[in-house]
Amino acid sequence: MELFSTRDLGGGFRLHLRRTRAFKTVTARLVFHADLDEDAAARALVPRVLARGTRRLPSLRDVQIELDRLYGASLHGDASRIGERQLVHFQAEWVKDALAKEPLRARMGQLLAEYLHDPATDPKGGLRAGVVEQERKNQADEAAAIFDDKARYARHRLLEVMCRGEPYARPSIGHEKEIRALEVGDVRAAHAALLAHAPADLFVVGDVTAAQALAFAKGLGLARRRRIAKPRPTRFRAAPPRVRTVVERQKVGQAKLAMGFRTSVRLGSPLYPALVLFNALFGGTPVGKLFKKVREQASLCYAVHSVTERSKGLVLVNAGIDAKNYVRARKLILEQLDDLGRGRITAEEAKLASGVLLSAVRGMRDSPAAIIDFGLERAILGLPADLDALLGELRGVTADDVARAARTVKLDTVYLLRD
Amino acid sequence: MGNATRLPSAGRTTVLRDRELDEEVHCRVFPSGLTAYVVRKPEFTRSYATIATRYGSVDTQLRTNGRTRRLPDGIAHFLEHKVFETPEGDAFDLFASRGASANAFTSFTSTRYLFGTSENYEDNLRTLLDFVFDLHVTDANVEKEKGIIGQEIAMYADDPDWRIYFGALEAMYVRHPVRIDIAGTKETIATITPELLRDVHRAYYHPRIMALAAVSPAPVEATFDAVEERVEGRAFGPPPGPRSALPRESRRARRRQAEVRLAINRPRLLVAFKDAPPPKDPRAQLRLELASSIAFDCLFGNSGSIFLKLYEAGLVDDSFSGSYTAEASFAFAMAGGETDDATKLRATLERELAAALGRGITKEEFERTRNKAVGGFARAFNSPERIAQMLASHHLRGTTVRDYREILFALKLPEVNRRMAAMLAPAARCYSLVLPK
Repeated sequence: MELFSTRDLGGGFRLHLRRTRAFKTVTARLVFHADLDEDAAARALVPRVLARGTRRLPSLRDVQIELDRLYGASLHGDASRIGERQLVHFQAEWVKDALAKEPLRARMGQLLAEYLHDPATDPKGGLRAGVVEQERKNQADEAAAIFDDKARYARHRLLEVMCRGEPYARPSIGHEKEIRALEVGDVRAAHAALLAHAPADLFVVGDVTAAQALAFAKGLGLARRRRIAKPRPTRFRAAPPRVRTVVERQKVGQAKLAMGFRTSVRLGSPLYPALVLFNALFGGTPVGKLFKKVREQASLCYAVHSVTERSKGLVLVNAGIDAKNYVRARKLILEQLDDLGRGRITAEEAKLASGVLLSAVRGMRDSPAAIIDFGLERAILGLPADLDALLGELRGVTADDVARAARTVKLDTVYLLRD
Repeated sequence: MGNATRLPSAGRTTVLRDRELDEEVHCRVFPSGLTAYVVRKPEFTRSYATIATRYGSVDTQLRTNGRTRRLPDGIAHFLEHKVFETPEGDAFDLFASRGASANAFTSFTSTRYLFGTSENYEDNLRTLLDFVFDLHVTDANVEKEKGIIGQEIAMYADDPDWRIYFGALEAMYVRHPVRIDIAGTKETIATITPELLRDVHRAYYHPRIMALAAVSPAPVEATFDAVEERVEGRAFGPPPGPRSALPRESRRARRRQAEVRLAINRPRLLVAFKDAPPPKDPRAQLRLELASSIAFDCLFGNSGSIFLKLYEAGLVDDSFSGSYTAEASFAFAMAGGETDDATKLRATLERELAAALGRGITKEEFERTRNKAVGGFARAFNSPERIAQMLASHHLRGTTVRDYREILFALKLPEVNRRMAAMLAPAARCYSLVLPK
């Protein structure tokens, strides 16, 4: 069964509702879609600027006080990416009616609509230049701070090197340089373009009826738009014939190893469920080979794991190691991949990995954020958001399928950060 | 142990009902001394359970047969890693074979083991109740762990947020072991042996100082039955006696400022407030904690007067956060984040803190901040993890979730203002900085 009932409201705007009484809160996430391109930095700045105040509540203080009064409701803006699609989010969460002394839904709907359409402006009617400048600095500083989290930085650099020339090399908030170069006019234009032309999805999870959700959605004023943009699909590349290795030096105590692989399998491919299971067996779970062999047996690291960037066809491995063990760790990690490709998977390993995986997928229903992430990822590709179907597919994966999926995973780039 | 008179007598189940939230907490104390809390959530798919012992990094002494030994720093955390070893292999695998993901963490005052699963809840719960009480350590598996934990320590040594946090603790405390890194150092863990781990496990993994908290769609009795079957049949040693008292420190911070340099771009500054340890009575402790947290939130929360001033002046950004922490033997508050100019931020903070002391917290600030806490309490019931950890924390303190709600509504503005005035005393204040190399 699909998790959401979906309704196309016209104007490139869809409403996805999951009505459930499981949660004490209602979560509403509005998502605008765009290409992950050179305007990404400006678009990512829009929710930051809008959060600084509306005409009715012109300062951050006014907005926050209103949210406190609404029983600590929250309204956050953010940018992320799925494949080469940039997503600009506005997420509202409030305590459900039965728990607050006043109904909060209508007030949160009003506040979100005000955020979008009625922000605080300067006398000429544009977004306030001072606020734009300050938030531009904050966003640029956030990009600069990636450097401070070494595991994250290693992954960031790996993707910059590996995906040079591809849109995927760009972080969801843009490069630091791009952000610092933004002008006030760029952000005003990005705001106008998002509202006028960007396709949008509203996800609502909680104890809300279809009629209530529809009223909330209509109040956002997005249904009657024309000339809706069509974001490009993500493009894929194969791994180069020769593996690139990049070593960079900083004054760090622990070295960070980041390895980037490409695969032709991605969300929507027939082998996709096998890739998911492959990753659980490789480094996606503590019963996978990376944890067992590289950490527990060889005692080489504390943190080691793999993730799939399933909308871009990448598998990324990260490990924190002693620099002197780099060659050994790299070799050991590649041996695990090779073993999986040769089908060296014991019945025990397969049972453990699929057990953990199926249980985790089933449990996604218990988290509003997980449900919405799943729905969004599927909505982008036009796939049904059906957990039961995914579970069925995962159950049907054979060891042979996993080996086939593993053989599609080819090393592209190795990045090492060390002292 | 908390205020034992408030807990039901052995074998009987009590139920705490919250009509507004529509939740029930079932609690039973077993003859072994283990207390179990269960919340039934039929509308959820997953189950989650945690077992916690009142033993953490600040417990640096071990008393056996009238002899007191100083334990190596980091041993509670080391033991947490080793408890997962079983004669049949890794307990992670036992859980995984039944669809569960297990984990554990060590704090200053507790060690907690946990699992989450969408299937085989009762079998997984039995595994949890078995493996924490059986320790299987060998020379080889203890040696191997030193390499892994060595890398964990190395990872945190490069982490600016971890370093600034412990920088602040070291600046505040003179002797209290809260100033020691939870994982210890490569040198201190080098001295850990299987024998020592066994002694510590015997002393500190006793049901009398432990609690189980479970949230599951399964019937409440299923959890109690598992405890009955797996824990009650076991032989335990004598219950742990009183522990050596931890050093009581004055409010005065040991140093005004701590500073460390790392390979980073963004400087960070944290202001820390050393508070007096809370009163012994658990409800009084909770009340003080809540009053202090609300006072702190009025200053440093999302709508806090000081935070907003600093944010609008461009001195801090959304990396800024703050919180109040209280445990039986220590209490402190911290707030901070990334900044361009740590010197200017520090000077502005000093000015703003003085102004806040003069101004006090208004009735309006207090009421809406409390409103936010009421919403936060309801929100916590969205997540099985949060519910179970909250129940375990209440147990370790000796309170219940009902106390939390009652006290939250009973708080009065003057006590919140008194807390603010006490916390912000200049002598109790210090700073921790992490600067680019």
